[in-house]
Amino acid sequence: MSLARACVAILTREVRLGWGAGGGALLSASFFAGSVMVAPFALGPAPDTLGKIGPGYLWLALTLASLVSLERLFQADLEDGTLDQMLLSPVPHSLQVLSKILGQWLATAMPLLAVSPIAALLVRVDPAVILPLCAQLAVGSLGLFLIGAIGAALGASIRRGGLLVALVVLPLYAPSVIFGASAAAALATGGDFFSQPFLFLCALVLAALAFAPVAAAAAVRLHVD
Amino acid sequence: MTAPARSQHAVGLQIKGLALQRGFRRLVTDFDLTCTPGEILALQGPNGSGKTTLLRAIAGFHIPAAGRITFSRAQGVGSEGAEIEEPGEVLSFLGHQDPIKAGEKLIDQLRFWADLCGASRVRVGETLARVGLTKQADLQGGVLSAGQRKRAALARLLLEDRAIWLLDEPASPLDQEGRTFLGALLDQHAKQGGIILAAVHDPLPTVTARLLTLGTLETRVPA
Repeated sequence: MSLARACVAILTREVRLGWGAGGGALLSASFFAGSVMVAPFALGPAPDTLGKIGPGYLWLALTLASLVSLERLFQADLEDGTLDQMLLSPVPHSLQVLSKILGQWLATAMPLLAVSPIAALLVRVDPAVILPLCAQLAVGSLGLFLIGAIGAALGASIRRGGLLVALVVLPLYAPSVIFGASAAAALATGGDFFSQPFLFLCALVLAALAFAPVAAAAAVRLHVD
Repeated sequence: MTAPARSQHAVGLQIKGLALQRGFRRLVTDFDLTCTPGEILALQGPNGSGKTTLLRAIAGFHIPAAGRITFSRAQGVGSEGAEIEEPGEVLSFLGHQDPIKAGEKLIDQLRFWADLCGASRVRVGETLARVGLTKQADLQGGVLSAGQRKRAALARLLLEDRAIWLLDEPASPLDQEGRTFLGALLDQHAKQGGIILAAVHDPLPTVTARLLTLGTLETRVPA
C-alpha cells in the first residue's frame, strides 16, 4: 500500500511542480503549437500539399516538442539533493523513475495533446481522422517521453545538456516516429485505426514502459556520487 | 520539546578497511569504525579531507575503492543480528544541499516526504511545530531562509524516523536558538538508541560527541 502511496506522491508532485511557478509544463505545448502554426507559412497554404504532409508534420512537431521538456526531468532533483533522498526511500528506484516520467507526461503532454486537434486543423488534416490521429499521437507521446527519459538521465549532471540529450535520444526516437507517421499516413488514406504500423507503435510503447524506467534509473544513479 | 516517545532504535554500523578515493586522490585508507546504538560521532578534518565523501559512502551514494560498510540489527530486536541490505532502511542523510523546491509550499513538500517514506501524514503538522516552522507551512520553498531550510530538512529527518543520522554540517546556517534545538534533537535521538554521524567544524551544540578526525592524507595513487 505504501508503495502505491509513494508512487502516487511522486506523480502528483511532478504534476504540481510542472504547473507551479517556473515549472515549464506548457513549454512543450507552446513549442508544438508554434511549430505547427508556422507550417503553412513555410510549406505554402495549398490544401493538397498541406493535407498530404500534415499528419507526418504533426509527428515531427511532437517529436521535437517532447525533446524540449527533457532537460529538466532529472536535473533539478540532482542539483538540490532530492535524488539523494529518493534513493534512500524504500521504494524501488525504477518505480520512482516510472512515476516521475508518468507525472512529467501528464503535466507536459496533456496540454500538448489538448491543442493537437486544433493543430491538425491548421495543417489541413481531414476533419474525420483528426480524433483518431490525436489518439495515436497520445500513445506515441508516452513512448517518446519514456525513451527520452533515458537520455535525460544520462545527461542529468551536464549543464545545458539539452543538446547532448537530443543527440542521445533522437536515434532512439526513430522507430517510434517511423511507425507513428506510417500509422498516421494509413489513417489519412482511409485505413484502419489499428493498422499494422500503429500496432507496432503500441508494442514499442509497451517495451519502453518495461525497459526505459530501469535504464533511466541506472543512468541517473551514475550521477549520484 | 516534549515529543511523544518514538520507537527504540537498535541498529549498529560497522566499517572495515574502508578506502575512499576522488579521482586520483586517496582521501581515506584502512578506515575502521564501529558504532553502537546511542553513539554520537563528530567527524572533523580540514576542507577536502573526505568528511562528506565518507558520509556519502555510508549512505551508499559513493562507491568506496575498498572495504565494507555493514549495518546490523542489534541483538534482541526482531531478526537478531540480521544484516540490512539497503542503507535506506536504516539511515537518513542530511547533506549540505537542502532538497527544498522553490515553487512548492513547505507543507506539501513535507507531505511528499512523508508519503515517500511511509510516515503518517498526521505527523507532518506536529513535526513542523517541533522544528518551529508552523508559521511558514504555507510559504513557498523559495522564500525560506537558509536556516529555515535546514529546519525543514531536520523535519524530514524526524518524519523518516530512521536509526542512523548522517549529517553534513547540520548547524552551519542555524541561529543560536536553532543550535540549541539541534543539540536537544541529537540528544534525544541518541537516547532512543540512534546513531549520529555529523561532519562538523565547530563542536556539536550541547551534546558530547566522540571525536573522529580525518587526516590530511594527501597520498596520490599511482595512475
